[in-house]
Amino acid sequence: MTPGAAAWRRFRRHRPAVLGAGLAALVTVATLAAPVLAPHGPTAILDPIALQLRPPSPAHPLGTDALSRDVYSRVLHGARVSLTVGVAAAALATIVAGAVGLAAGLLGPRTDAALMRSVDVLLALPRLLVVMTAVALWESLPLAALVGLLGATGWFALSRLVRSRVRELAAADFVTAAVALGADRLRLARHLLPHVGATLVVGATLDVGNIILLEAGLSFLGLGVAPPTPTWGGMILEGRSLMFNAPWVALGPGVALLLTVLAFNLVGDGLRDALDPRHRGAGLA
Amino acid sequence: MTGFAVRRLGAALVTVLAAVTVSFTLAHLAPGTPIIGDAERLRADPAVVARLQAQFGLDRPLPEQYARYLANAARGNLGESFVLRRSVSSLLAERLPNTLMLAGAAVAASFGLGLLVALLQARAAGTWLDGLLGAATLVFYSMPAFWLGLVLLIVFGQTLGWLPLGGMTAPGAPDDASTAARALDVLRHLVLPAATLALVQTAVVARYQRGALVDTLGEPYIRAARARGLAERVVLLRHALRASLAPVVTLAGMSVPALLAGSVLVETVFGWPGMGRLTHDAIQTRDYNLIFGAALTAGVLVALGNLAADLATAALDPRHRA
Amino acid sequence: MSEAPLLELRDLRVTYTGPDGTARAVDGVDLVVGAGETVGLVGESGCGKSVTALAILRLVEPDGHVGLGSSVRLEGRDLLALPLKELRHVRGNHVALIFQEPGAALNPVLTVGAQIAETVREHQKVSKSDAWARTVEMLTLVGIPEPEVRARHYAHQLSGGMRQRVLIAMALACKPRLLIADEPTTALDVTIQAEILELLADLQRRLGMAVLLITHNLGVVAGHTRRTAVMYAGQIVEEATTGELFARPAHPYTEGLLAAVPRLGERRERLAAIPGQVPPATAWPTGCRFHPRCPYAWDKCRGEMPPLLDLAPGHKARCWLVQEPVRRTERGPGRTAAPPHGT
Repeated sequence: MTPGAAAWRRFRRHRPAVLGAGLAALVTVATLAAPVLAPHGPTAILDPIALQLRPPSPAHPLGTDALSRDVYSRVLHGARVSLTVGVAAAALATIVAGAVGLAAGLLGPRTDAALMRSVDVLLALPRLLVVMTAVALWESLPLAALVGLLGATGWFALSRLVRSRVRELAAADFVTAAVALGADRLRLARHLLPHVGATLVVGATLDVGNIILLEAGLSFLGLGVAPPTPTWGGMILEGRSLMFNAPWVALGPGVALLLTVLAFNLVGDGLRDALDPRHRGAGLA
Repeated sequence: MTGFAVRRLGAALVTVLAAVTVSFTLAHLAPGTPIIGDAERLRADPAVVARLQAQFGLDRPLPEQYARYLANAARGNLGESFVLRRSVSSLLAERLPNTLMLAGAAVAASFGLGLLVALLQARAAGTWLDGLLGAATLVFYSMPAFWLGLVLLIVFGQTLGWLPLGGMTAPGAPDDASTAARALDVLRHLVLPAATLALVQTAVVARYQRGALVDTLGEPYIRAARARGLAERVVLLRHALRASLAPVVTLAGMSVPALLAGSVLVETVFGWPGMGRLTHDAIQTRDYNLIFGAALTAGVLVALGNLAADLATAALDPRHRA
Repeated sequence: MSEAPLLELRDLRVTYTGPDGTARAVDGVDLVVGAGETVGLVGESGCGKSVTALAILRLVEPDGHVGLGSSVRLEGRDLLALPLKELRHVRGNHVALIFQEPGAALNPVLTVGAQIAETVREHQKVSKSDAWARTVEMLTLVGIPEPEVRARHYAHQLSGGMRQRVLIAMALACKPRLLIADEPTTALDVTIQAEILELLADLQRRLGMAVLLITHNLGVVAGHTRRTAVMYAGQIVEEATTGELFARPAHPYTEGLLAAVPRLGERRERLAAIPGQVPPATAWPTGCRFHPRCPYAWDKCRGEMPPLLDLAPGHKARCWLVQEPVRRTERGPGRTAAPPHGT
């Protein structure tokens, strides 16, 4: 059995991971099909008097908010922001982490030391606070900027993991053989890529959850993507002032957040166990 | 030994410097400055605005502003907040202890609880208990802390009415209340925000430590210890836990940035008068000196956290003693 | 020796179940060690000798399962039937076990002295200072210089030879009646190996304890054991006094092991290795387990598993040649064997 097939079999056997994958698929469908699935538009103000702050009912499974909007529809649309930002920023962070990790591992001890020292310093900065400060650069934050910021602040720890993996592999025989055959460093990097791929994929998946939570936190603080685009964090912010009279306004998006992040974490855990069985439950990436 | 101390101090300094530099760069890159913002609102005379800018040194070239700030900071002068018209140091002195109280309580609780959960899981590895606890930690790990705070507030503050609904002290408390009564009041207000932070941190600690423990329990020296007739409890606590503690302590020390971030959100939810909220307000109002002061403080806290992690690791694992 | 044996293994079986099937690592081992006796247990890796050692102290669970009919009697008491609390009283106290990799058996975050002292305190209700005194005493006994200083050191600060001495000190701290030494010298330099073996012999004389010396190296048993048992594929295949075993090996496997050791001054074109490989424990061959690699094998060997047959008083071998010695002359050692079964 090829290593890939063996890994897939291990993943399939891991029930929580499969559950997570199912959930993630569900959320993805919601994201893509939101305009179709949602019974109402995200900003549609329904009957302003009769339908303001109604508790959950068959017509409105998650109730309505202060502006008489259907919470369920808004949650579905909110998925778009969370998922897009999550996946895109994670992808960006992963690419940078891979590049930096490979460079540190292959370009010699001085580059290695310089890069890793910088990473140490960068890791000291609280990600949320840096992004919060940077967000102030824009009057109205475009999505691309948010993705860029979150991605740019998320590669530090992963690059360290990639670098140690590269160092591990560099001692392997096939690398020595390649070098003996005259491979230059770029070619080496290409050879090593599939092997660090596992580390990158696991790191990326686990980071999606973190990024989604960060984006939600930013929206909750009023610093995220500008309204009227519905974001889960923003909805929770609205729900905060209503928490005693209408707790469902904050409940819906919160549960959605929890389920989505949980899904990605489950998949990430399953991937890590499947791709690197040595890691048996060794905690967080 | 001195080499060790010098290197650690150097690293700490770099951390603090990085924090200040990054915040300085970002803040100055942002469009608009506080004074002008105010001026536009108040439609003030441009000459007055110019004078105010000169007064605060905002018309100087950036590198000069940077250097002056650092020089002042080294002497303990962190400047004055534009918006709140108070010295930054006094603001920090007022708010920092509250955040330390909150974060400290959270760290202590999460560490203790997290280790306990991890031990239970490791001992029952593979059974339903392990699975249940693992699922619970995963759920809390995936939860938005600010939402958890809201839920706890609704359940315990409103529905059950056991705990206060926010803030640090009950409004309207009599001035002559005894220290014990005031301490109790603060404590009651501390429970929910600390629990919010702690629950998420517990999940982090437990997840990490369970893995470390399971790995350690597979080591040959554990079997050797059992072969010597030591009781299982001794093997677990004295041998396995001791041997696997170093990484998680490092993790705890390195989680200061995450705690600072978490405190921003939790303090906002609960109205806790701490540094997190102060920083958030400062960023929103472009209150430079306050932003830099907060960044400096954050840098110092992170550096201290790393230092504590290093010292603890050296104490726990003799192989790491340089 | 007419007294009751110190240790008696009867029909010891240990199985491991894994994704590749059930491995019968130890498959019906009978062994006797008398008080104060040194017995050797020899075999290649994969033959089950280490598992046997672990099984004596019930350390194979939960991964491995001991057969229901097996018994391990220490001075008449079946260790396999003891409640855990009493078994713990035996471990490290009446029976001590030292492992192959001395570094791996020591906890890296505790001082070596602390680990010895805790064993003493566990089994003998003494004060901390008395336990420490005993620790230093034991370290002196095993020949560690500056024992008070060394006791406060950690495993990574000691050399391989010293670590093994520490392990021996730890094992003997409670004056056990039986010491099981699993490959005590394999991980050490050749010069240190001899020292350690001498140390063990010396301590054994002084303390009057029995030793079960487990190794793959015939040289180790040669000067240090009174009796030796040879293990192959989970079973004992030959047992005799050591001298007899070396002079007149009865089982072809033993012959092969002895022939494979090159001797100085001998001239040979190639090393006489035993052809074939040790089969996996999940798939022992039918009949005699050695037959695929045996130069004398005939039909009976392929079909029927031989029991341990008496060759002479105190000399047993699990081989049909004992009953039909004439077949031995039909073929000689050193010739290629029948093709391995099933490979």
